[in-house]
Amino acid sequence: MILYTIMPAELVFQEQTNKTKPRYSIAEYRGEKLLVEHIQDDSYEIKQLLSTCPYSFLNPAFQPGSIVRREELK
Amino acid sequence: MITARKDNKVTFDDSDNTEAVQAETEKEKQQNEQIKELGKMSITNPRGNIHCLTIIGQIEGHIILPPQNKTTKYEHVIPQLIAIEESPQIDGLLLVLNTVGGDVEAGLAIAEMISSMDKPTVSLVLGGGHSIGVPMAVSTRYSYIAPSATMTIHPIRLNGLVIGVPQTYEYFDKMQERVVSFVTSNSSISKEEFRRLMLKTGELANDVGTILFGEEAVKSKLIDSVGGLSDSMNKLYELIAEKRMTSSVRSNLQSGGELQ
Repeated sequence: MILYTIMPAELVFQEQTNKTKPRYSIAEYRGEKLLVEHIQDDSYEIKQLLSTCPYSFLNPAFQPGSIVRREELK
Repeated sequence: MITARKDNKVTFDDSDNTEAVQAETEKEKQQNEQIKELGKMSITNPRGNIHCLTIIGQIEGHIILPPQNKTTKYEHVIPQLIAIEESPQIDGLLLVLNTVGGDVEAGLAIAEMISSMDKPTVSLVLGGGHSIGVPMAVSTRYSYIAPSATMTIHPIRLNGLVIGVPQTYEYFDKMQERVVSFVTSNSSISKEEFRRLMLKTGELANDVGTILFGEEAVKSKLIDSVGGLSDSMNKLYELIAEKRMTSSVRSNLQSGGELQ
């Protein structure tokens, strides 16, 4: 793989301590794909909405930082 | 029957009116429910419905980058592009770039997908469109750059172990050629000029290459124009209108041919 970037390789590939490592996953919620972080038990925090529809970003349900339950995610 | 709106104060028949109002609120409720449940809003714009694809951080391809990197994933973007091209509800794509670069193959793949789209596409470089962001920025039908945005053009380097033999240089030259030929065939910049910018010394702190500001990127013919959000939206609507015109002319010609 070749990275063509202005970021130094050391910065891109720097190791993280396990304590601070975020546990990200991608899940479907109300018809859109989301990047979520597992925070505890069955709650996930929305990190990013992975959509191209600009109106979905106006939907408060997809606001980053909101907490969603596991059973709501697909 | 009187078709009454919620805000219509003039009423002739009380029972009829309440029925209509009830039907209206019911409809509204259903719509709201749909938005809540599916997270979808069906908003139609007569000038054309636009979807926007934001390319942020690193372009992630064959290797999953450590989580501190903000990434745009190849496997997300490709199906989205296919959906945009296929959907009858979407008329155009606005590509918003603020990227530091990333995987050459993933970046070129996305750029190739966008450049081969039939639907009107416009790109807007905000903040930065560096390295592999350059081919992505020129892949659309028309490209804009914000006055304060920058684009860094520099040679490709390999991460990890590099064996210092002539073949290594050859290999890099070949990889670089892919980027150079894509950029030059999708923008008005010449191969010589792009290579010159790539190998220029004295501009970057620890590398050869050039950093282009908004205006300079336009002067070097890499980007079509300096502009912002309204410029790029208007251009996109213009391209959509053009496309609608040509397709209606074509269908007119076809139906005329059938008549004869």
